[in-house]
Amino acid sequence: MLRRTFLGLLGAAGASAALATPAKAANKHFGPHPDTHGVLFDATRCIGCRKCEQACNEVNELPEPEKKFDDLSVLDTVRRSDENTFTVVNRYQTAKGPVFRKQQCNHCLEPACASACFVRAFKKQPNGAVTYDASVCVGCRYCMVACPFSVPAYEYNEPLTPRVRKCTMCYPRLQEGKLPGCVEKCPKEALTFGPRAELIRIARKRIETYPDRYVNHIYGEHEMGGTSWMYLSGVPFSEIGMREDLGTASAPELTAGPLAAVPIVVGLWPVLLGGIYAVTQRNAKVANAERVKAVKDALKRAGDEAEKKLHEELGKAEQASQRRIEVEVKKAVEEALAPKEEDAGTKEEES
Amino acid sequence: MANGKRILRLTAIAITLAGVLGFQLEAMGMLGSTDETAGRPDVIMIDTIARLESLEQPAAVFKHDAHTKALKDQGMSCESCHQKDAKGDLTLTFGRQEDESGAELTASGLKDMYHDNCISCHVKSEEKGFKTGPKVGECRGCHQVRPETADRVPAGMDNMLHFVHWDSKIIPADQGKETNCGACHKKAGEEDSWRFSDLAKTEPLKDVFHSQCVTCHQSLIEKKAERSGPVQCAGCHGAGEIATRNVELAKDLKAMGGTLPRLPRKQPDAVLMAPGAKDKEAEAKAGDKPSGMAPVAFDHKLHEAKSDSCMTCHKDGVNAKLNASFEALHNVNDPATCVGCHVQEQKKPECAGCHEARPATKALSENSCVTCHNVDVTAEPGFRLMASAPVNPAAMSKEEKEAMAAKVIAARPETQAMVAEKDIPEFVNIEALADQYQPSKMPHRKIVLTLMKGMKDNRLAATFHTSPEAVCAGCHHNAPATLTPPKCASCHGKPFETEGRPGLKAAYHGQCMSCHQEMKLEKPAATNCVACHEKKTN
Repeated sequence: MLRRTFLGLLGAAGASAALATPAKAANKHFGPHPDTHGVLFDATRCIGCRKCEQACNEVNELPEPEKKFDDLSVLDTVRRSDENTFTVVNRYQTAKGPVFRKQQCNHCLEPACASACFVRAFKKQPNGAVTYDASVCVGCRYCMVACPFSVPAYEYNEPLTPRVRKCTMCYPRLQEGKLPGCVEKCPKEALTFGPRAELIRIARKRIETYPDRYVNHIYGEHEMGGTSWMYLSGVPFSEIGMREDLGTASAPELTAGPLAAVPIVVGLWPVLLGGIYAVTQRNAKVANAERVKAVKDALKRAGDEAEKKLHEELGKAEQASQRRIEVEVKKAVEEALAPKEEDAGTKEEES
Repeated sequence: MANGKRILRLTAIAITLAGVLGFQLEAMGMLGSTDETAGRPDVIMIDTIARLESLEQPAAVFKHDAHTKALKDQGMSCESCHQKDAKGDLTLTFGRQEDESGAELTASGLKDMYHDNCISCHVKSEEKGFKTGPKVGECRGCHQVRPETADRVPAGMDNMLHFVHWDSKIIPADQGKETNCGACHKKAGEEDSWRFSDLAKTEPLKDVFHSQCVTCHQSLIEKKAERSGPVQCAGCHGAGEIATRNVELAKDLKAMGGTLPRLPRKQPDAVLMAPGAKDKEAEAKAGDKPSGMAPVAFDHKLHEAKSDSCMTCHKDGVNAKLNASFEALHNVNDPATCVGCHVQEQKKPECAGCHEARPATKALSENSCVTCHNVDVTAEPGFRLMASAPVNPAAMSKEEKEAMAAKVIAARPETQAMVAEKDIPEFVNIEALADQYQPSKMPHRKIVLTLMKGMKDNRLAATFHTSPEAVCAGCHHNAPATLTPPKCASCHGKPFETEGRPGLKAAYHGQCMSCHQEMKLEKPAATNCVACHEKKTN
């Protein structure tokens, strides 16, 4: 019985593993939408003027910041984007002097935020932008945990209608045929907008033309499965505050395996466990029935035997009593006969 | 009460742990600043017996300069450790003459010799009341597991240092000659670096140099000569000492008028360089056949003054034939080639403004070839460099070649040809951002004149900026060099319309800002918008 259960479990585990693998392999050759656009940021061109921050603030109608955009003293501290600032430029001291780097949503080809969201509030648009729909958002903030670049921010100070906020790659402006605000405003074309494939070509050409100027790597070409926003730099990317430990697998790719196992676990395990339970139950039932029958038989046998014995005893007793009766009867008859003879004598005397 | 006891016990454990850890760190040398222990140039690791048997102890640390100083303080000399050979020169080995005696000491013999001599001297010094080194039983004093690191820079002899030697009156002139080359170089007329000498083929290079340099310097010191070279390790191998020396020598050079006298080695003033083959085999095959590529007139005299050492170009020594193949002379990334060195020169701030934007790896064109390969090339239309062989250097005598090269060099301009000042527009109004800012009034003439000032007296610029308008191409790029270049806006329009070509705004900003950055012009700051175009007020 135990052996059978074990083999059953083994078979079930094998089946779930076999079902999970093809789901992962199917993800491998999933390329971006052919119309995916993006932005190429070139750190060797950025002068840290914060015009992109200003443009972002204006086009997104964000609240006015504490310090004005032409106040460059904010560059003394490293900042990050938040619910009121979709992009920031930071300054990093490197061996090649100060280098500036713009930070905003990277618009991943396979966004972690979208894959983490269970109400589909995030959507990767065909043109590359990752947009957010506040009307369906339940405020779980899984997107904030999922994002490898720590981009989505939450309106914690908005008690009634808090939203997740982040750069939209100016999706509404792109719909109108305009450039993203920051790209349009950049005085040096440190931001290049275009189809992602073209941007990669441009980036490669720059590296090839000026091999001494650039690190031979396009950040975002493969990071986290590729991003729409990509980066060129003259210094190692870790020196300008960018994570180099992310790997090239996209977030959904990393979670697809375990997530694909969920339906199997949810769907198959009840059946399996129920089956095992049923088998055990049935076995117990059968065993119980057998036991009851055995007891019954035993009881019956004992009853029969007792009855038989009783019968025998009764028979014997009857015989004995019969005999006794007979004896008594005989005795009584004998007794009766004897006085009769005397009676007859007396009667005769009397008569 | 019980609680207090527990706390006491835990504290005791913590203190013990901290103590043990601290001791460990101390013992492992992890505490204390590492800056202090930056290597010194005189650390020598003595592992002489390593080639005879495996070492029982780590190699012994020997600080040569510390010993030289100690000996001097105690009135002793180099001969306390180094014997003199038959010629009266100091040997480089310790306490023995390996070459002369012939008989090599055994491992145990060497070991005893070092131990006896070192320790007995240390004991004697102590008796005399001096600070001394390890003695018997203090094995780890010399045989250190983690010794100080040696930090030596290559000694090197550049043209200036060489001049100090050949110009020196202390080094006597050769018999019947004005020069003193023979004092160091053996073969007259074939002087070359010692690293290419016959001796260097059999002996380690460091022995070749040390046995000649240090012994000569030491003998001069012993003779109480007016001037001598260093005998300490740091004198030639210490970064700080070399820097100090270079400062001194630079002062001397300035006093002489800034130009180093030419080496009296009968090197040519001008050389006719013909394209050569990669190796001897290919060259033999080619024979006397003239090459299709015109030769280069090389200004040897000018380049002598511009380079630190003859070996900058003559990598295999001045007597070896220079590899004249395309690859050996045109490698952009190798500063020891013609093109590589010129590219290096373009990194100077006064050049980098324009040149940094020009990709160094740009394909060579017939136009760029003819800048150097122009001997007997006439500027006739349709002239093809490769189609004709105007000069065949292989069939010419040395004198003829030199004369021909000298003629071409003499025709080269001394200074950069210049566009007439009146032809340079004084101001250019840029109105591309007229919606937000007032037009930028660019001081065009001032910029051009500043650029021209940077290339004044620069023969490289004068020779390679072939026309007066060539300078214009620094900004007016990708267009023919002319006084009336096309407008920027004729190529640069809206951004991202042509793949990889900047829009007009970025083209302006990119060019101005990159140039200012490369030329190290601090003002105006790239982020100071109103320095170039004032804000619109209405």
